Amino acid sequence: MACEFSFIFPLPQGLHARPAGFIQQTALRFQSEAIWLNLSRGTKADLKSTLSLISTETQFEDRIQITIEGPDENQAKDVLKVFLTEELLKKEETLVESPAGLDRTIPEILNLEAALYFKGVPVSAGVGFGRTVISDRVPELEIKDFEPAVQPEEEEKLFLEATNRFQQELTEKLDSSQDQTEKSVITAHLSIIQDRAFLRRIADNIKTKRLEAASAVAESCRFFSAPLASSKSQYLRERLSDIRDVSRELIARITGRMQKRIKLELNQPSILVAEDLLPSEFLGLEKKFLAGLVLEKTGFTSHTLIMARAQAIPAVTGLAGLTRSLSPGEEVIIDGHRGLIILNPSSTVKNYYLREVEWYSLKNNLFRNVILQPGHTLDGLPIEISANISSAEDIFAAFKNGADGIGLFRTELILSNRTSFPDENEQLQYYAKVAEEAGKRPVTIRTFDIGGDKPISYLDLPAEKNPFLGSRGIRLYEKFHDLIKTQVRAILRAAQTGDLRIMFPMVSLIEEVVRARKLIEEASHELTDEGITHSSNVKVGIMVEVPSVAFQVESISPLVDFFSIGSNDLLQYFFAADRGNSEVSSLADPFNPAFLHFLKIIIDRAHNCGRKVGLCGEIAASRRLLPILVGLGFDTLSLNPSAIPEIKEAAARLDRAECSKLVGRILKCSTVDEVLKELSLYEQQGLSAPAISLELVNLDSNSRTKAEAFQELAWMLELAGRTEDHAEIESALWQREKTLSTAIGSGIAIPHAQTLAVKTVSVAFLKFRTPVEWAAPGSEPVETAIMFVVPSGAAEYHLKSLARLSRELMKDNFRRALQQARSNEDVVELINSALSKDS
Amino acid sequence: MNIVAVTACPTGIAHTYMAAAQLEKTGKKFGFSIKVETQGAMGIENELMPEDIAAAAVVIFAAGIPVQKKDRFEGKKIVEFSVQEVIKNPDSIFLKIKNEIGL
Repeated sequence: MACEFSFIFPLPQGLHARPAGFIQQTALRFQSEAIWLNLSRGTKADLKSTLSLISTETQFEDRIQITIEGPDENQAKDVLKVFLTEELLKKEETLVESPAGLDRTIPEILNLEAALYFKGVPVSAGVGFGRTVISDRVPELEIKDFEPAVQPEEEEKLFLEATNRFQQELTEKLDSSQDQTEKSVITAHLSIIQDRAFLRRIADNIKTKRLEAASAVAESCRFFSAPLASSKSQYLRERLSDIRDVSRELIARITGRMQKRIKLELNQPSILVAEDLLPSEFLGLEKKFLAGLVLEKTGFTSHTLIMARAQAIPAVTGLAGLTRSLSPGEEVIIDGHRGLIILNPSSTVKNYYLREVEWYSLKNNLFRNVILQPGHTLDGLPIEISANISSAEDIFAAFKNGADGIGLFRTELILSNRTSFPDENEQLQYYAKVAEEAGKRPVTIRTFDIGGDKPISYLDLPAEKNPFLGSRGIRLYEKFHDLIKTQVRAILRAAQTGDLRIMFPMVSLIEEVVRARKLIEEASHELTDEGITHSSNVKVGIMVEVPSVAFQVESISPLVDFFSIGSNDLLQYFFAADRGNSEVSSLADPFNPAFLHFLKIIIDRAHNCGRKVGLCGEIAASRRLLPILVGLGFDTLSLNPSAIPEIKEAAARLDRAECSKLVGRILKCSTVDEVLKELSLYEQQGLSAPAISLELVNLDSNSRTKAEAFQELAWMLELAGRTEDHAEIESALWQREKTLSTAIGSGIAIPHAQTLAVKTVSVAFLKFRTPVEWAAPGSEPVETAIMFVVPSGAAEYHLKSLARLSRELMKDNFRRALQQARSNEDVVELINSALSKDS
Repeated sequence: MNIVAVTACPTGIAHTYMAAAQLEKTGKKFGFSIKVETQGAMGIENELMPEDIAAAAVVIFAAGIPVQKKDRFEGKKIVEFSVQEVIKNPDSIFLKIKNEIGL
């Protein structure tokens, strides 16, 4: 009979091994055959074959038509449609921004020491020390010339045995691997080795073309690689190595010979230099001795580098011919932050990098500390920064990124990819797993948000002309009373082991809330009657997505414990504009003062009734909007896990009182432009942060040379968030130092610079344990260094304050006071008074 | 006895003002009446007027970069020092000055 549907391919990276693997898995659950027709390119594939799918060269926004034929074609269609149009995108990790840091500053110390170095593309951050190990080329897969195989049946047997063995090995490796990234690579390889089209072609090569098994594999590899090699997408071209990798491994098992590359065994800290490194070879390396990778040709998105990044192994690419320029056993430092390979470094350079490693580590720790603390503002007020997740698997990543809780747990995933409604026990297990992982942290579970635009094949959902304004969320709960009750029962039971909360979607009337509460009571009573233990004080809240709720806050408050504003839909309903419609999407602008006013009304009313208000929507992750959100008084911001660290850190630098004042000014605006102007003014103001702070003072510095002092001073700025790159500060300081020594007598030095690398005037202070030689040898050593750094184009009043500080430094009593300062606080006070002193 | 001076430094945010402070302090100590113009990152401050220059016995330049509007000082006795010297050893500056003008 056949049925079909069309869609637009949603993945920016195109259809590569990983998503192709998932599609294959999904298609394999059904008996029906499914054909993938890429209408934009005219390519075709079998959905049950990963390689076949990859060979279609499907790219972002290609038009695809899926045709399904077979006994279970309707079910297959429903499941595949939802999977391809919604879930696939969510499954794709937020991959790969293109490598930043292509133009990163070279540390000045390398120039000062006349170090010999190569500059390539940084593809995995970190610093490594070791000796070079040069690896030879990856041998091309040979196709033996086509002597007909004497006994095709023998060859076929060989092939099948080797394939089975390889599949088993990969499966075992998958089970025993702890690393998520490694797992996903192995999974991608498994799906290739299990691929119908790949295996079929090999078998065909043996039977019909009468090739030997190894050659048959090589030919199949070439056939499926060809479309990738000529792909316009860099990402797809880099997937080539996956297919070659699997083919090589398979051939090795057929011939019994590993085409072993010489010198891939490491026995001391090593920097591996090669043209390319296949993922399986990376997996086989002794990581303990792998200090870094220099790969001439490996692409940024190749699995090898994805794994290197995940394991924090520094890597640099783009240096053609390096395998020929370097000798084995040379001492080398690899700087994966900047793409540098430094040869035979002097002890000064080595020392510099050893200190770099410590500071990078300190920076990571500080970062971790911020995200592991509960969210709060600068003036100490709590603001919960939580995560939006779609599946129980995401929860681990959410907490790793510092989520204070789960602000939105979407439960629809458990309904898809199946043919019947999940029963209570299955749901119970699902929610209990989440409760366990969350521990004391709250998890807000949104009950099923289904409707006309989210088809579930085994539920009879109405087909509506305008599902967005139709039967969605809580509006369907009367019809599906028992199903929702099942979900609620499961949640109540799971809530015994954690702080699980229930949240209802798409509320528009108080009656709906009344009915929902009754449903919860009903579920609770049933459970009690049945003698099943459960939690009886689960918090309940509602989503605020429909504007009508704003004017029912007071009446609804007694019925709920919290409100959560679903800004994605609220914005659309508020401005009557579809976000997906490029003609009108700009109307739904969160910076519009009318919308902000609306939010304030909701929040103020809820707070007056003693109820907390959260935000779960894309705008919660907006750095620019953050001061406004904080000023409006949100108690929780719930966003996607990857954005949590940045937002938490940003919130910790915001003063809620100042933010409230900002909101006061903004609510007087009438247009988005005016709001953005106010916001810019506020942001500029932030640039008059105090020049010096406690973290910019070190009274016990162990820097022993001027170079070390510059490194320390520059790092202090980076750790304090005043510059993105300490190397730029160092460079600027050295530039100034070269024209005129900054030692000014009495053991004081005043290194300074004007640079684009800082946005605010900054002063840092070091007192050295051992006086440092600063100017010509034999000159008076320096005990105290005071650094000033001024942004290019700094405002005059900033420059004036530095002029004041300079003059103060010429006064004996001031110098003495500085030299005698015992605490960071003393120094900060002294410097601040000098900066603001009237001459 | 009147003296005028100009200080000017690359970057112009530190040494320029330190040198000025030293000249003012030490000049006073030696009994001179001194006015110092700074040419720093904010541009020319405390600008020397024609009357100031006319009344001065000597002009001091403490500069690491060319002095701006140098033509004002045409015909005057100019003594140049490095900024370092002024900052580190201002007394010797004024001893030299006293020599120069025959005191």
